[in-house]
Amino acid sequence: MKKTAKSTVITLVVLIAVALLAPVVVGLKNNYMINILCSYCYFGILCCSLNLLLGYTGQISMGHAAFMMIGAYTYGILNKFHGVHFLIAALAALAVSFAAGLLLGAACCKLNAIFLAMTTVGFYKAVSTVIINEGWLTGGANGISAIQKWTVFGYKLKNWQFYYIALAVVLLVFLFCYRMVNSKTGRAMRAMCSAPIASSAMGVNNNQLKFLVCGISGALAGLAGVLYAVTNSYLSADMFAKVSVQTLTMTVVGGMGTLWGPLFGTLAITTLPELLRPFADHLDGIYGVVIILTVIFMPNGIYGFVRRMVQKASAKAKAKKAQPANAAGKKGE
Amino acid sequence: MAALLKASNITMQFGGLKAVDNVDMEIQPGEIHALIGPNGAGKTTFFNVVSGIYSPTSGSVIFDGEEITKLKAYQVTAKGITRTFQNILLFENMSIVENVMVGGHTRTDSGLVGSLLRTGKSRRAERECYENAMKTLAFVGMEELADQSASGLPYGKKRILEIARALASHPKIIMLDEPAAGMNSTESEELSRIIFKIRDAGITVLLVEHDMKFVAGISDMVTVLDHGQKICEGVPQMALNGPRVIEAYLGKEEEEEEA
Ligand SMILES: Nc1ncnc2c1ncn2[C@@H]1O[C@H](COP(=O)(O)OP(=O)(O)O)[C@@H](O)[C@H]1O
Ligand SMILES: [Mg+2]
Repeated sequence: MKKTAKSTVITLVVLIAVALLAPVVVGLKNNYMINILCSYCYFGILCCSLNLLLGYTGQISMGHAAFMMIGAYTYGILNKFHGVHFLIAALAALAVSFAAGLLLGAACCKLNAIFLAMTTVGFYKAVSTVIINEGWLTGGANGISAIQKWTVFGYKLKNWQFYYIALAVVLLVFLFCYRMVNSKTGRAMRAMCSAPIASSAMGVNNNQLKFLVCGISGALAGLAGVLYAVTNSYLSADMFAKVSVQTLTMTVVGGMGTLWGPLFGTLAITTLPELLRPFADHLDGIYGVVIILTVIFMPNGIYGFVRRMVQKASAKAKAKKAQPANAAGKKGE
Repeated sequence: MAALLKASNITMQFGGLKAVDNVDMEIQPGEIHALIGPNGAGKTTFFNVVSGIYSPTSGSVIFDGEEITKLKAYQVTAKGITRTFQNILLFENMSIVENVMVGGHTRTDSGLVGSLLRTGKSRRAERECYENAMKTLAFVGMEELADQSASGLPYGKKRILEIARALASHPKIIMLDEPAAGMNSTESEELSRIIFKIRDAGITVLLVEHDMKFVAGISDMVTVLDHGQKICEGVPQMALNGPRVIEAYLGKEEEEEEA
């Protein structure tokens, strides 16, 4: 049966080690850098969420930030305005964004790719409009400010401690996705993505599966929203304006339909805006160009590209070993 | 003997076109039944109706004594009807053994929660699903290719893989839509061996095929469709030589010359 490859384990261990050491390297008190590290975490979760939908199930969401917003605001409203305990607020955020995901599921069952893309953009617009207009509920244009860091047994967590929690959540989400895509459900998702008529003829209930994946994807995006709210301790609708495109870029550039892809994509694309600070106004355009270049030159993303290079290199190494035979063959040509 | 599959008065209308026109058909358990007819006769449409991909305009389908007319494709599969596709529809992004494992979807008893928690039950179910897929691949002689990607297979092997995927659902009847199309003679000989093996395993076979020699050599019973209507039914020697059948096929050849 499927065994986890040695290279996978090594990559994972290295990544985790780097992630564990990162706060120490940047300095535990360096809140600016710690917040960037946290942003890797929530973007990583967001990409995993979009990847389940887009990469594994073939359903397009162009407004994925909507679910993140729903999660973030549910958490912010409950925790800040109503004093609900952070754990309960987080669970509520998961439940509400799961429900929102089911709405997307209904759209997936009825619409083809183009209309789905438009609908999801519209859904994002609708959610942000509601958030801006319904000030009594959401704080409106003023947003929600001073969202508290978590307090465990009377001890208020520092930023870097929260980062470790966020990291643990990412790892759990990654494990969740790993097990999900390798399960019977995951096989059915990939099958439906590739040939929906054949998958239904093999006994897969396509519509039910779309609802399930959309719900899960919504909930994971909502979870990313919770981490976002706590990390930034401030929420306003316009903060999410670039998130949908950014997430799409990360997932596509990293390599959708693979587990590693979104992780690489997150690392690359979350780092990019920090490096491109001077060009912040043109970020959307840069994302666009990066997506186009990726789709043309690396259709399987960074992950697919790296894997192909590694395979080529190992094939070359093998060829070198078998050189005498090869050389004779070449002379014959 | 009671029929395994009984389709009565099936009509499937697309706009003004009756693709299947009031067709009755009975498939006996254990037989190899061929459905033939010129291109556009309605054979694939009939398959789509029986397998639940289309819901017929009128008529009923009874399978194993149970009405299945209104069931969706995924429900029909669970009842024990499976099929392959004329325009090969494999899961090209998956390995060969995974394709066959999806075929076993309805026979695999592992839920998502169980898989997420890696419960003993889900692991056992997954292992059984995998073993069933490997056994099915061995049945059609493809077990060595298990870990390869389905997209890299040559045409003939893709058709065989579709059969293996369908068999993994432990069907009572398998419907093959032009399984020999695009195969060379060695491949189609191999295919007929596999079809006999399927029959010998107790699975009823309904197949659409154009190659008359292939049909004559393999089937116990032949039904002929033309313009959506059943024009003839019987044992191969009789059905294939009926005047209307010859006419239907000769007519088709004339049309082709015109085109
Ligand atoms: N989904 C559909 N919509 C409209 N017409 C269809 C559809 N499917 C099949 N047809 C028409 O029904 C007729 C029978 O087609 P089909 O069942 O594929 O024939 P066969 O498999 O015998 O070659 C053809 O004229 C075809 O164009
Ligand atoms: Mg056909």
